[in-house]
Amino acid sequence: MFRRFFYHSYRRLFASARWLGRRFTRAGEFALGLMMLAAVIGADTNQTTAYQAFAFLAAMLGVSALWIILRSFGPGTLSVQRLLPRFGTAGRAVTYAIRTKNESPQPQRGVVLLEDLEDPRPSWQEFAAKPLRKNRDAAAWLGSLLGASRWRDLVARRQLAVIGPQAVPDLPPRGEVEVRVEFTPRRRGRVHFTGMTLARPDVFGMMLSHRSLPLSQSLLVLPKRYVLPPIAMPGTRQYQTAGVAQATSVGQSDEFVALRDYRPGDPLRHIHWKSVAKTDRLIVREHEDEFFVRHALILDTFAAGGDEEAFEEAVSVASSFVCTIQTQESLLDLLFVGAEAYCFTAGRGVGHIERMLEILAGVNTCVDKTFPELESLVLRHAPLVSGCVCVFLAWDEPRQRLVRLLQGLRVPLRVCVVTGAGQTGPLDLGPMKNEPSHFHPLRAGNIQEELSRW
Amino acid sequence: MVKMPPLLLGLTLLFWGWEVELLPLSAVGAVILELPRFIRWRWDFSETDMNRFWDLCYVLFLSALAYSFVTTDVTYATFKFLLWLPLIFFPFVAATAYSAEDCVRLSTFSLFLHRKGREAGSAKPIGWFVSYGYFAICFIAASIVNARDPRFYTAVVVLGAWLLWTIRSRVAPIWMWTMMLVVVSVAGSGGQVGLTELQAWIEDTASRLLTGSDEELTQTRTAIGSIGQLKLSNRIVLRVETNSNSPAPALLRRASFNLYDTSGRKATWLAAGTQFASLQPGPEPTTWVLSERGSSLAATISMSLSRGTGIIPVPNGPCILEGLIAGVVEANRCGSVRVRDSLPLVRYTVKYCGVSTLDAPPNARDLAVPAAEVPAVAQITGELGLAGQSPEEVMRRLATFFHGKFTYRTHLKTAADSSSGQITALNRFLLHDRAGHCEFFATATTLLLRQAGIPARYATGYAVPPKTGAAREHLVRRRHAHAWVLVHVDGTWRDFDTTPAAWGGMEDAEASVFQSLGDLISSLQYRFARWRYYGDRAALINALLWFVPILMLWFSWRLFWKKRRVRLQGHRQREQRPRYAGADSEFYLIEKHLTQAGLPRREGEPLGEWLRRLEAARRAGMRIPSLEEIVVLHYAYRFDPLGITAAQRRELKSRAESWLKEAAGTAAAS
Repeated sequence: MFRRFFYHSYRRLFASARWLGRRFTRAGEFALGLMMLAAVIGADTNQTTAYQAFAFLAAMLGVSALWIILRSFGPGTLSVQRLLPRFGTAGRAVTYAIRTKNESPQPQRGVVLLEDLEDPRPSWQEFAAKPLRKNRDAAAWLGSLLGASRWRDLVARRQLAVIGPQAVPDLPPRGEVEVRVEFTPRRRGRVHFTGMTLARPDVFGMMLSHRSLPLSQSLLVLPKRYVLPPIAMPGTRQYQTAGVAQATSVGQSDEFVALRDYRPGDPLRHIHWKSVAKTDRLIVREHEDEFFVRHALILDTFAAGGDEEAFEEAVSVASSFVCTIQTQESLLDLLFVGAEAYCFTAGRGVGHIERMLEILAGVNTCVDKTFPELESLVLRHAPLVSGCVCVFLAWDEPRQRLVRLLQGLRVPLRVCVVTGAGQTGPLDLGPMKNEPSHFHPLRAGNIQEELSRW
Repeated sequence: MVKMPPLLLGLTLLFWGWEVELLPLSAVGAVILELPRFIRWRWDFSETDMNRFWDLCYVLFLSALAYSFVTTDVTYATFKFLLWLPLIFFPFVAATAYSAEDCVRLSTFSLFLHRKGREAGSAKPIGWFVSYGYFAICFIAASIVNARDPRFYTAVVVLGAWLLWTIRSRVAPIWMWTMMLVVVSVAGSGGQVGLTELQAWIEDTASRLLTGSDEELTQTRTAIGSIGQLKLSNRIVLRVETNSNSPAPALLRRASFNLYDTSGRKATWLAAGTQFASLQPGPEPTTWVLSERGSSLAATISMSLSRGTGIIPVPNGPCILEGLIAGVVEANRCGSVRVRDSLPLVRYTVKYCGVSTLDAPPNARDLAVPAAEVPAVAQITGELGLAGQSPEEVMRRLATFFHGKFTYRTHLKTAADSSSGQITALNRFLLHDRAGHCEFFATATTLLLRQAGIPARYATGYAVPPKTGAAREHLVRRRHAHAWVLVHVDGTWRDFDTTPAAWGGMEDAEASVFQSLGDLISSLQYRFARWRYYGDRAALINALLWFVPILMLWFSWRLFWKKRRVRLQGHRQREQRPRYAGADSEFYLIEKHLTQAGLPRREGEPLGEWLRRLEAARRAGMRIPSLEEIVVLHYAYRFDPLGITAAQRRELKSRAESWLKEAAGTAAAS
């Protein structure tokens, strides 16, 4: 019952703070705070004269409020266009432009643009489901018990970006200006712009009048990537049962052993057009067996104890591998378990690395399934792959078992174990004791430093 | 927020100094705060140094708070303490003003965040907040002075307008801004008058609601008629000290009542004419004369008073109150003494004579017996043969009657059947149970005396128990709350208590086993409060005077152990010398003009592209004179400053000036 009470209190507090932040300028917030202070100190008009300051500030804010009510934006006064890039990267500044046009015959001064982003407040289900954070000091423990830290974590997780108010230069009649906006996404995911609010301060610069414009757009924020040292990926070429059906006609895939008549279901790109021209029949090429390098990147989505930080780092490490592994001549399979077991393939023109990064931008921890699901997915794919890179969130028995099974299938491995910042002491090598150089414990917050030691 | 406008902070501090009559000190402070605008050196304060400055202010704040707490002798100590805030926080604000960079961070303001701030290293600089916060502090502190003249509001308007001017938005012309400011000033002025009147109205209404009609009727609800255990706590409410020559008073009265009302579920005693009249202090400001009658007895009483206001108990016939620190002392004709604006711990010596000095003379109400009680009262009066006896004889017979035939009991077993009108609780007490607590005895005695034709009143207060063990004081607890009778004999009111003497022993027998522990805590609290309000403050001030220089020396040593003064790197020279070749080209004035006209050059936009946009705007109807030749000359000056001749340089200047003139003329015409 108390959790629900706290949840609703935080929700209302957040909404009030947001409303204040958007309705008042910094000066207005200062004046409002001062007015409340004067109200407290001057509550008894016989004791202090603070009530006089209160009266002045209240009158000023009253005039400001009246001003923004009476002199708000008319409809169609301004038109706005947001020019977003296709991608951004977590932790890297993203710049985009907002083109503002004055549609009215009067000049427009002091216009401020406020981006409307998706409401970052978590739902009750999310709030109730999130486990308590383990804290060392008493203050943090109390915060955790009251749900404040949980609320903060969830809001921070959902609030991918914070974009401040953008001042627009004075707009001449029918004139147009472009404002460049820079912001730094906090984490990967999709930043949803739900609209744009045009704002203009009152005569004293305390409050802002608003007009909302529907300008819905989104920006995909790719995971943060680390610089990986050159990696010699393990493994040799493997026979691919599907041949090059899934690959483009580059390199060896041009080789074919015979021609035969077209049968329904054959891909059109296998039609040998020269023979068709000669025989006036549909003739297709029959390819020889294909052998090429195919790597699997296994991402562990089973975060023990809801360790989000370690999971985010694991996604970043996986993204770094995606960007580093050369895919012109090989395929890369990304295996993970989300709502279901997924396998995405990129390389040799089949899919693009960007696509895989997009997928990684949206991957979440898995709470309703268990690690054996990932194990069975990996084992199904094991015969196809030349080598495996495992990005694990723990180094416990189920994960070590999977490694042993893959070793049994003679799949060359490289194992990264991403742990929380609190992890101390070295990890036991376990099944990787024969290949210590291919076992990489990585501590969240220290990843780049540890990667550079490879 | 923009930076604080010049001189505003200094003037605000000066205003505070004017209000608190520390003008010279505040003038020095104002000069210190404003000097950085005119000098070029700064101190190289690191984040840690700023943390230390804040810690110093924090220590000063806590010390001042502690000092104010332990030495205060006014009710609104907190407000008075706020008066010194500008002085307390001055070191930090001055340090910010002289700091080489804006390195004040949010983490500086919290001891907890000091460590966290170092770990995170990404706290936002909030240097602007310091000067604005100090501005607010100065105003709040100045308001505490409570000078009832137009100075404060004038300062609010003038300094507020100055600040508003610097942050005004450009959506309205200056005349409109000025007009709005006048409106705000007038509305604020009206508002403050309205607020004072509102408070007066609220106080008046509340007072009327609480005190009722013209003839004040104060009431005390008794437990007569209620069922169950009457249980009061062991909390010590009074401490009574006497010297060896004077015995402790047996009873300390809070109020007396003369109307007995049995209409409610519980019987109620009411008092008419309880309006209080203020007393003037005697030769000493802490001496209050209640009566000119000679006094031979004295007792010193200590008690806690919430917010320093309330009724203080006194023995019958109080003449002089000594050592009573209070703003107002009032007394009424029911023998009650009330203090206002006193300390939370009231301590006073009351000199008394044992016969009434404050009570009104008897009247018809002091002889009235309610009709419902008449049968029982008349029956007892008849049985005891009180009619026609002298007052002394009546009192003797009543004392014998109650002491001999009644027992003290705090538990009332059955409820009176008042709804049927047959028998009241007092009737049951007198005729059947013959057992009850002090309210029964006092009420019954009052009514019996009245029936016998002797004026009597019902009094409430405390019975003072004898000292226990080696205690220096008589400890009066809540359970010693008592009711007795005031009887008018020989032209004066005397205390008359018919409750069996065993009641005190019975109450003590029911004391909690934890009473000793409670007494110890209470004693400690009392000793501390007594030291706090009546102790030797000079010793504390001496200790603080030693402590402050030691603190300052320690802080200075921490802060200045190595040379930290740095000189800002030749700002003036740097400003005079162009930052790059061609930086003083007049073309930049044109760029500024066009930016103001709403055609700014975008960040990183080449000049050629900008010119094309301008050309598009010109085609759209905007009157912009041609810029191409000026741009060519500007480029030459900008990127080949040695290749441009003096004549070309002059030409660039003249062309740019004529362009600006033409543009200004076009703007004026449009």
